Amino acid sequence: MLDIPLQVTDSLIPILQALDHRSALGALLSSVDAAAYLRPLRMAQIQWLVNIAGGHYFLVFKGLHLALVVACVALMVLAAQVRSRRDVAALAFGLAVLTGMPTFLGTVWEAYPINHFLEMVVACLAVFVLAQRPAYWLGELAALALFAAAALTLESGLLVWVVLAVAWLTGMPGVPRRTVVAATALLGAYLVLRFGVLGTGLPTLIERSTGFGLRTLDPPELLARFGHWPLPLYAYNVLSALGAVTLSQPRAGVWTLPAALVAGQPVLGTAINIASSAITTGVIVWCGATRWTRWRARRFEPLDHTLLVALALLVANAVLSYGYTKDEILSPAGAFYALAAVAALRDGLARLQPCLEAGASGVRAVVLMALVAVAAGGWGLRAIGLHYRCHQMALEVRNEWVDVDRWLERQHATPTTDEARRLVSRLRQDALDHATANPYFLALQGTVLFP
Amino acid sequence: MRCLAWVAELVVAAPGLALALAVVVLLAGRAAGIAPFVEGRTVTLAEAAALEDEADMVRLLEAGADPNAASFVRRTRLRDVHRELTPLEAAAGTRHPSVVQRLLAAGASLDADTFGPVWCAASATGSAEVRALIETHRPAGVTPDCGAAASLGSRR
Repeated sequence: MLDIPLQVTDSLIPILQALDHRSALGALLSSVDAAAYLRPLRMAQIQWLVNIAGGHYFLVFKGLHLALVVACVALMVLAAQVRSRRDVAALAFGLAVLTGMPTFLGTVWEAYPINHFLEMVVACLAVFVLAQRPAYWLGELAALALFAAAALTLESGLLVWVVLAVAWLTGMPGVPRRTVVAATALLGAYLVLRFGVLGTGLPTLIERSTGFGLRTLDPPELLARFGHWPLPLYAYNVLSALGAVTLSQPRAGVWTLPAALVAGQPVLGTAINIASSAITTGVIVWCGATRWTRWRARRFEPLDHTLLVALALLVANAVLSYGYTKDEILSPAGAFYALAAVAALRDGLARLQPCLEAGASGVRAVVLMALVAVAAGGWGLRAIGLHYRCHQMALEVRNEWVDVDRWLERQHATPTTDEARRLVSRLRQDALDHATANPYFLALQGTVLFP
Repeated sequence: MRCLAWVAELVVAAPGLALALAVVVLLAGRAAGIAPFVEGRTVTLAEAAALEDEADMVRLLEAGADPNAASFVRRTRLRDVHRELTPLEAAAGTRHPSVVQRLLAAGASLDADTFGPVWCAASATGSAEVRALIETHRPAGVTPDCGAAASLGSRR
């Protein structure tokens, strides 16, 4: 991750824009009238980091990115509430799921220049961890502040409210009624500000490309096919998002397995991804099914909290990505999917242990363990893929910097001040000096295994 | 039968434990200056050209690398050779005209011996743009025989 320079596409123009604003407040105010998106804290954060960087942009932005990744993993460990050897085993599996998920990859290799999707994952996990602890005014205040900050950074920040609401509904100790009432009031204020005061609106079909069927459609194609009635596309995107997290298909709206089969390309990696995801989802669903009667009786334990928050977050995250599908948008759902896998496996191991100790393992237990072994191997491989894909990304991003001046010209964003020119030159030099291992030296074509 | 429960936990934990071990090994290797694949800083201009790695090409050219100097090129997924090549020879077969253009702009040249294999490799990839670029540097009176020209090992 540290070998990947800051990106040219997505990162450079926001950094240059941040230079124009002399203060974080100026950046914040300049963003509130943007069409389709209300993300004032996004630009304010970038501006603040540019201000404190003192020329060391790579160090500051990557430092924050690394801190967010570490926070994400640490919060996942805290949320898993490890107390026994069995818990450690389930957590180890969960960490492989977390890092092997395609939703996690985007949070590690992308920088905008701050990966706000990763910030949303950290915010959701932090609020969930606070909800697990006994109610305390400081924790409640922190949860509300996290929600407000997340919502004003990215639309996905609204997922923090979902975590709080489900935590309260399922009786998690750290979220009393007053907290959820305050969070709902903040949500109401956000909606009034967005739609009533600022008239920000929602993204339309012309915002971005999105996958549909076997390929990606560009905005003009989307307009031509769905301009008169976009509902089928929105429904497809929501279902795609659900499938992407639980089955690893489709990816960004594209059914890559049939697409690869049609094109005569290798499908080994995709098949491994689907198999490992399907088995893991099966374990989670099976665990949920065994808890169903408890849920109907409104009797919830920590296992239920995890499963229900993960389920609600999955649905809410999928609905939020109705406009277009992209792996990293689903990163909060991906992180909680991994957490649900930890909870379900821990429960599964607990149920299996007495059978094994009594010698009554039987065919069912053996088959179950064989399936979990297949999933474990698959996730292990996918987690290794993260390392390979980061090397590939480092190579691509470094090459983007070679002709950065021409790229800026094409974007009509040529720097006009000495300060901006110095910044571009400094970032370019940083990128070129960042010599990295070249994945083409590997005999194996990594994309076959790590699609 | 207690050992069976142990095995079950080990199966579940295996990927995470392997991942943790890999992270420790990678970090320790990094601290000791050992890269898991091939350290980028050891790449020569010819290798960078063979790998279509324009960032390394620019870095090396800006640092004063000779665009005509032959150097050892290791076998990669893009090039099946393991011998000394000039950067232009190493770039032969690329589909990216900018790789060849960058070398030519930096002063790379072709002589009667090297033109044939490079031109033939460019012809084989079907990239008309790359072939046209190389054509502009055809030494006078040279007509390559692609049947007899030495292979430059392009896997494309």
